[in-house]
Amino acid sequence: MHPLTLALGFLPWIAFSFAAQRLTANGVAWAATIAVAMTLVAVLVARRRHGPKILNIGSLVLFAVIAVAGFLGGPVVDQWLFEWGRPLVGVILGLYVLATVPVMPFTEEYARQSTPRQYWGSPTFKKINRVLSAAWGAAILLIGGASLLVTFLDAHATDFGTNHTVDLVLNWVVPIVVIWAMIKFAAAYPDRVRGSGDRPSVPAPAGGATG
Amino acid sequence: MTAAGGGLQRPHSRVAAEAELASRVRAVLAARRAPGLAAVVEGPPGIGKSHLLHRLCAETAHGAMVRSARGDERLAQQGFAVVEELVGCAPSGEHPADHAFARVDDWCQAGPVLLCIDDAHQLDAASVGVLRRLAWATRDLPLVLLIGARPFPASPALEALRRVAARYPLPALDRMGVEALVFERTGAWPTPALGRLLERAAGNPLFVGEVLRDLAGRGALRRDGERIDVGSGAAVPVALEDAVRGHLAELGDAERELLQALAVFGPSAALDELAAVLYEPPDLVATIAETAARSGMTRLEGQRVAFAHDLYRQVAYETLDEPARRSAHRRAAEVLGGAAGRHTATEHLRRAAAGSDPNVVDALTEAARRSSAFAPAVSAELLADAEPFLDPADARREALLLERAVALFLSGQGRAAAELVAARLAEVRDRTVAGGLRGIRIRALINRGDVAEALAAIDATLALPGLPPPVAHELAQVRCWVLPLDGRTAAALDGAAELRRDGDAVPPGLRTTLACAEYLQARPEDALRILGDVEREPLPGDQLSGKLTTLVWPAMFELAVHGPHAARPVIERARRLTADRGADWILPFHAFVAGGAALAAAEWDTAVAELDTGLELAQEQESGWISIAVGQRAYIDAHRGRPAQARELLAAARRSGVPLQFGLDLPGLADLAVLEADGATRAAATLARELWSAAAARGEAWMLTLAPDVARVALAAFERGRLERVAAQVGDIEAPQGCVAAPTAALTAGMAAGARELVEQAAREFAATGHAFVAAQAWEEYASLAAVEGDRGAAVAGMERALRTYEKASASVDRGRLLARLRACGVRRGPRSAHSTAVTGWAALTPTERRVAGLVREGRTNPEIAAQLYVSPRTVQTHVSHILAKLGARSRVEVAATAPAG
Repeated sequence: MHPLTLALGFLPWIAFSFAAQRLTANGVAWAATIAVAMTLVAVLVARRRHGPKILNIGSLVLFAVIAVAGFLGGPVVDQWLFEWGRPLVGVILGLYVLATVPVMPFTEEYARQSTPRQYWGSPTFKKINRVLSAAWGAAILLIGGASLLVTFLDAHATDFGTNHTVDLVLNWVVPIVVIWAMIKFAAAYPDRVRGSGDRPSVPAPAGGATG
Repeated sequence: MTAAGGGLQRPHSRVAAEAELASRVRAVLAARRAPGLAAVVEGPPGIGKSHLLHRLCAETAHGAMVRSARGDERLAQQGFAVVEELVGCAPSGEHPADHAFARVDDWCQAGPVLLCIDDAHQLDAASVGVLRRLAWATRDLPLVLLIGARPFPASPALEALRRVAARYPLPALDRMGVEALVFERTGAWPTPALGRLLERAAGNPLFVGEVLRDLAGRGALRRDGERIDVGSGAAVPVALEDAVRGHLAELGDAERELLQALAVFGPSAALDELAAVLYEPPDLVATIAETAARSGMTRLEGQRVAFAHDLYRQVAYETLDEPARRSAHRRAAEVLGGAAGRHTATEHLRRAAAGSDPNVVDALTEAARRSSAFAPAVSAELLADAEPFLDPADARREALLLERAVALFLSGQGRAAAELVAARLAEVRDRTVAGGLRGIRIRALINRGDVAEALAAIDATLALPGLPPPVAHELAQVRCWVLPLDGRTAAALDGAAELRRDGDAVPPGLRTTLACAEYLQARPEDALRILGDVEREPLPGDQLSGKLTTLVWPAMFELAVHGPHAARPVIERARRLTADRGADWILPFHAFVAGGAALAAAEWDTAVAELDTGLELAQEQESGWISIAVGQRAYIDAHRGRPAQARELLAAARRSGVPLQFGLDLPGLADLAVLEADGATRAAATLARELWSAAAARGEAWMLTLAPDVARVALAAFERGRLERVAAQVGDIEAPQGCVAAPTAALTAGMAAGARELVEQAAREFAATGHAFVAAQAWEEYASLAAVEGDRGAAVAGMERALRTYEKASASVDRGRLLARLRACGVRRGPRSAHSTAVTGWAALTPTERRVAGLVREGRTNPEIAAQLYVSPRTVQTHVSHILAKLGARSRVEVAATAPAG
């Protein structure tokens, strides 16, 4: 499983986070619609070889709800979504990923694509995916939490300069560092647990051929 | 030379390694066309090589023909054992290697073929030689060659095979792999405690299986729902062999004895054979074999018992003490005494013997003689095996040593032969044997191109007191021959003059030396005259002393006198004579000369087929005289825009210390082409300067070969002074002969003076004798001069002539250079004339390819075509693969269906 394949699963969320801040009238609703469309495309593209993934289903439901609320709700809902939509999506997505770990860790679905079937039941395979999925869940939760904090501080802002730095750190530096660290971790962790990569073949027995 | 996709593959996990190999195999078999794949799967015992090979054969071979075989060290002294298992026995009189090659070639015409050879570390050298040839052939055939082997013991033959195949070292199982294996065996996934315990098996599947069996046997495994656990305090063996030894100890006495008897007998045996070895009734043995099979160490296959893994056999064998082993081997030899098991019986006899034993020596030398015709490598091994059984005082010892050295040399292991002689010569008392050994060593040293050592060995022999005059005279002639080979023409002529002091007539042994000296001084007509009529030369007396190269030279000289057109029939006649005389050792050199002629004629696909086959044959013979062919092959690669391949080929040749034949620096010329292809004008100019300053000492023939390229590079680097010096020095060559001398002088002089008519004259003269490539280079200069002078019509005409040849040869570097040069002067190729040269279809075939395609259309097989054209079946294979690619055909049937244009 390539960590980048996994990161692609979060693309709708990333797109939503960018668009929600930049579009104006019904902005969040449109951003959520874009995320729904992207998720649908991902599901359709992959449907020939694999069914929809647990992460896709979660995203689809979450963003559909936001889109419907945004389009149907009045200006108050719009304003609320504009302020709290982006941070809350991160938190909810993180919690969703964490909640699904005991049932089906979402990374396992991705890992199965590149692992022969006979290994799917292996305790090590399951452990790797539990740990990776939980780590991803925590990472998203952390990013969502940081964003939530910015929104909270914004609501009580008095000094513009301080808020700008805080926004830069919590909305940009934290997510980038967290995602970079996760990609590194996801690349190294499976090999470490499986014990491959550094293990040579067993040396030949003394004597070589028979007789 | 390396086969397609050679080299060491290092995927990081077991799953990735297996998946990558499987996908490569699948790709070849699905494409149903060349190139194929030769892969060696390597790993220690128990790592799962056989399992992987078996799985690949079963899973990937949809519609492909699959054949498999395995190495058996009992059959190692019967040459070609595994080859016969793969393709069937050769009809009597036919060389088994040729037969195997033809069969596989034949199968590949019908569709993709998958050949699988397991336990290759136990193969005889002759079989490994055939596998190497097949690995080369994967470049031109839809053939997958899968070979399983332990990394040790590493025989030289197997090492040579590894070099031409892609190597897949099989990594140990990772934790997930071990868990999946436990699930496969027990139906449950291991708990962390069991997982930790199994880590002792270091990811070796056989070891994991043995540990599991051991734990289960002791009741230490506990099933807990979907998990399987291990009781605390359970110990596992430290090494795989210990595990197997423990397993063996658990068997009943009767089963263990059966396994030990089978271990002595071989990897498998018929029940009645085992019964005879054990002195037991067959019924009883069948019952014991059935119980033994329950241990998983052996399998019952109908009426045969076989070890499930080679390591079980190894350990069972080791548990027998020396006297018991010997008596079991003696009994096995008696049981196998009939003709069918003759080879294996000899091997048992050898293992049964202790100390000196004349019977063993007789059996082994008899077996060696049987192998000597087709498998001298096996003969050499058998003779080496025989020696310890001879009494130290036995006079036969020295004769056997000579016989072994000869067998080594004839099997292409000249290096080993020379080393054997160097190590043992001092102990030999018999003067005839000593003389023979020295002769072998000198021949081996000359063959591999170690001139300094060869001259030292000759001088040491000449200095021996009491050397008979005829022997001394012959040796002195050989000495004279080695000197020009090494580029020391003047010294050779001095030596020859000394030998001829007694009379005017040239002794036959000196003719080649003198002729080559004339040739190197740009007097090929004199060379031909001195050589005389080689067809009247007497047939070689025996395999060794007849190893002369006389038949090669007329074609090479003819190429210089009248050009490629005239040389072609001479090459074919020489090949026919070679076939009639069975003088196979000259084949690589014929291929080199034919390749050189095709290179000059701009028929580069033909040149590639000839040079590649020649280089493969030379490698089989361990011949070191490959510098000219390597240089020409790399020259083609570089001019075709593949400088990396050219560099790799040149570097490989230099690493193995290949000498410059006749002092001709063809590899240096290829270096120049590589730099030109890289666009490194300054570096090319520097190298051209170095090559030219060394050229005069290398002879006038070399100056003529080098001049056109050096002149062009000097011109590109604006070194007009150098260009003028090159022209002057070429013009100063005294009375040069041959068809390239005059046009080369005209070309360089024309380039130096900017005289278009001189360059045009050169181009026409080169073209008239078939030197198409250098003619195109001359037309390029002509077009360039015309463009500078503003004569657009002449520039376009010259450019078109040059481009036609460059495109026919796929010389993309030259094509690009020419277009760029003319574009700089404002001359462009018109849209209509672009792509006017066919690169596909019948028109794109070289004359040789057209001839081969014609024979394919008539329904001839590759061996038939090879026999008709007097070339190697490998060459035909390469031609056919080029033809298929150019015609866009998938099979010979499609070639037959495609109508030639015109």
